[in-house]
Amino acid sequence: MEPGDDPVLSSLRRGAVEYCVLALLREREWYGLDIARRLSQDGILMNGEGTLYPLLSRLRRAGHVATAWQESTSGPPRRYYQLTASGREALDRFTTTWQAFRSAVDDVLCTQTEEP
Amino acid sequence: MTARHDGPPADRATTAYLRALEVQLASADADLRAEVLAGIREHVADRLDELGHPPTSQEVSTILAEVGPPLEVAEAALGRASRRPRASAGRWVPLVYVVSSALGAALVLVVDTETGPPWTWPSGWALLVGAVVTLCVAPVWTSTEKIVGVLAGLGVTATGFMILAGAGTGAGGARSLAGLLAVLAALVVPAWFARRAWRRIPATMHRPPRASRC
Repeated sequence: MEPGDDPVLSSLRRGAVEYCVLALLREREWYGLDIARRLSQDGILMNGEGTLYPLLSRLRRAGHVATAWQESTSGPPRRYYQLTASGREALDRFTTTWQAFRSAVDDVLCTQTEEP
Repeated sequence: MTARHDGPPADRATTAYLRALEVQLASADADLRAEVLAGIREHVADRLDELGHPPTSQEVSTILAEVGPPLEVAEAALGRASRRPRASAGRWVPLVYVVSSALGAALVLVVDTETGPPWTWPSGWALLVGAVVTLCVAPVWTSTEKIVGVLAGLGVTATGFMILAGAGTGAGGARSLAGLLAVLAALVVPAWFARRAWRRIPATMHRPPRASRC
């Protein structure tokens, strides 16, 4: 089974991938193809590249990202995505929650492994 | 889509993919649908542009496979959990639609209500209603196609009755000929819509092969 076909992975993605997009945009603007490549390169975070665009649309409608067209040296203008203040706040909240969540899950998993 | 290195294979395959996706997104908000379609269109155009040469059919197929099946993209847009395509998205849907339309039109327009069996008239109308319901409900046509299909069906049926009225009721041969012409007209419109659905269903029903990334 490919990683992308794992139902557990699919469930985990639904709650986390949008924040991975926000994290990518924390340092600089990205355009769609680059984001898709980065997130789908190992088949863990994203299965098909196309699923990125509904996610970007939701983030834009939520006000977490903004878009701007920029000239490209290798073709027509590209739509770049940039993090908004609202997106940065959402990312900060997720980062804090995620760290606590990950620690809690790891604790339970490790406890069950060590003390069956 | 933006024409750069997009040759005919890219145009055809990409257009078919986008139409299949549009059908799957039929229930989505119009803005969301337009935004997703635009994003995918730009993504594919960028991938094709990177090739630096007119793409082969295989290259286009690979790019579209890596974008993912339209159903998967639509599910991401609509927030649904991954599921199998509904049975109503099978190729039997356009077949049922076109057969119901033709048979219904034949029963309503060709068989004389005064001399024919009494069940023909209600059965014919039931088949025509069934065809309209299939067109409106099945997720293999776009919203625009559904509206145009219903209006065209009404227009063709009305035209058929006008042809019959012009042929009169006394001359059996003339009435039969007029009825057959009307059925033929009633067959052309559903056949056109059924063909469009038939050609796009494989893209929505079957996941294209994708290269392993891991």
